[in-house]
Amino acid sequence: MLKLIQNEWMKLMSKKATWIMAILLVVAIVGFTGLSKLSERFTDTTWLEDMEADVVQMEEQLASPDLTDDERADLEAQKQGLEETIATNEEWNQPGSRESIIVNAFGIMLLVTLFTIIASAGIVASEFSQGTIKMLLSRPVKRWKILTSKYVTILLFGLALTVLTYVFTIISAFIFFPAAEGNSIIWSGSDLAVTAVWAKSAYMMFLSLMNVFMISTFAFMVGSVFRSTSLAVGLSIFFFFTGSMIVLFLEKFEIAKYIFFAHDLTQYEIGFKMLESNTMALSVAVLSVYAVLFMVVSYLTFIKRDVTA
Amino acid sequence: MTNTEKMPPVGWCLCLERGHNVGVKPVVELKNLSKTIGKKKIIDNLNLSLYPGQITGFLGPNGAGKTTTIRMMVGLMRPSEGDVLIEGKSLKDDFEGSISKVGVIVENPEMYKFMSGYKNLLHFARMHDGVTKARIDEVIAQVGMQNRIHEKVSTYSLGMRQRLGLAQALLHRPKFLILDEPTNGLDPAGIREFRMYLRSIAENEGVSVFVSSHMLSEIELMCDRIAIIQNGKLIDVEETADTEKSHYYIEALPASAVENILVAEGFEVELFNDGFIIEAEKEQIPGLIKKLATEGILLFAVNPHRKTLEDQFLEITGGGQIAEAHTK
Repeated sequence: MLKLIQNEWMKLMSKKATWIMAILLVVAIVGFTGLSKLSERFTDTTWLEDMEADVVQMEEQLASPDLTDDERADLEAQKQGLEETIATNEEWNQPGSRESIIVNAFGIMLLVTLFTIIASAGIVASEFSQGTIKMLLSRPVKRWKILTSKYVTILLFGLALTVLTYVFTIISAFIFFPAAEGNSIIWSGSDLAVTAVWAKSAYMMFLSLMNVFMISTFAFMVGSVFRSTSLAVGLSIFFFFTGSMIVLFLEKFEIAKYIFFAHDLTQYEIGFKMLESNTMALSVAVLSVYAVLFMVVSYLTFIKRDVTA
Repeated sequence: MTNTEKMPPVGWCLCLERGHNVGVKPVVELKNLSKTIGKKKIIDNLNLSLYPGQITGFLGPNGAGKTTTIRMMVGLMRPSEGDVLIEGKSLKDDFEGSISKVGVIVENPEMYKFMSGYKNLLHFARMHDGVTKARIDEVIAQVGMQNRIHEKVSTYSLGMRQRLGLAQALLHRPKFLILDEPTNGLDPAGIREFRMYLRSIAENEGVSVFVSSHMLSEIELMCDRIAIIQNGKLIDVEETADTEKSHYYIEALPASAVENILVAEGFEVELFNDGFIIEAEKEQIPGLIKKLATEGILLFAVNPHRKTLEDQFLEITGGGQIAEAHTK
């Protein structure tokens, strides 16, 4: 089995497309991090300072004894509104730090998802389109072993891209951004201790990777059932992008709970649940059922198929 | 033509499963092999044994079921009924054990074009037990590809791809080599080289070779034995025998008188073009010419005639499918 995985990995790594994807990924990571540094420099914060000056002025006015009760209440309300605006904007305008970039590394997993889908869709389908499937299946190796080696290779590929993403995000965060001032950074509207950044970011990457595996398993199934790379890529990306909309449409119905797009695992950490009723346990259960279903369909069709191509 | 190459047969005797195979264990046995797709029986109850050191040709018109049969023999398709035994092991029950003795080139050898020839061989070598790096190098030398083995397959000519295809089929020292349309797209020199190579591994290593082709002349030059399939049924297994009867072509007028004389002389007469074909010994011919001359027959030609495989093939399979379709 190890030899078979070695084979699949060798084939994947011999394709130009694989390297182009890896290079694009690195360029995107370094580029985005650099850009966010650049945009920080141009961010106009003078209006915030103006607001702060206004507040100071209001406090002075409030201090004078000439005000009627009505005027005083009015002014108090105005001041409070301003203060709230300042508070929220300060939160968002907190200067970028190494830690905030690292903890948000999972954002680039969108690309990892895309690339893993492409590799997954083609790993079985391309053998058929190249005609090499005939060479592959007339060997003293059972078909389920060949399919397993391909699936494991896809999981490894997804993992490799994820590690690449994480490492390069950390490197570019260290290049472009200073360490956070103080002991906490703001993450998803709340405070996060700087010391917890590594655990948090790694956990987020792990959850994103699970999402990558799910959609790749789907692409793997479509690719091995229909033997068409483009169909598998198309369908997977279509569902990947419209999945949350579909869930939104069906939100009112019980069935929404059982759609696999409703169970993006990162939702529990971001604090924005797709469905009120969602829990981590439910999501894991639903995703597991789907994963098993996809694999069973893949294996059955691959093992039973008469190769006529 | 070199001496090692088999001379084309001068005709072949019709005999099912010839006697000299008795006692030799077949490498491959097809047993009641059938394949039904939908309601159509593509392959109908095929029985065939293939022996070591022998090259068996597999002939049949398009759509007769050659490719389906071969696909079933290498595990790409599942037989609806029957089984294939390779060195006594069932393809159905012991896939890995039986197929490990088989080397396959199915149609054009489709390789991973984006990898070098060497990586392709390495890839297939890993799928067999006990193929060492040394063995890979040995096979590369055997097919004469040392110089370009590390270049990408996409840069290879068709001939080189064929040789690489042969190399991957030989890696694990198969006892049975199966080739589907192996010489498709090869130039005459390539075909000849290929043919001689097949003969040498059949003779020297006792490999049983099974070759399917449309190219009758090709099969004729290469094979010891020919299996003919039509409409999914094996209609004939013949040896390209060494002791053929000689045939003569006689062109003479008037035709009816000639035929009468020939029949009277005890020859079996067959119409061919503007004349007749008879089976006769060389010694009989002068007497026959004298006889015809004295009877006042106008004699235009008496030639030794070699029935080509094509003639016999068309004879056996009933010739044109187009004509057949019209009569339906």
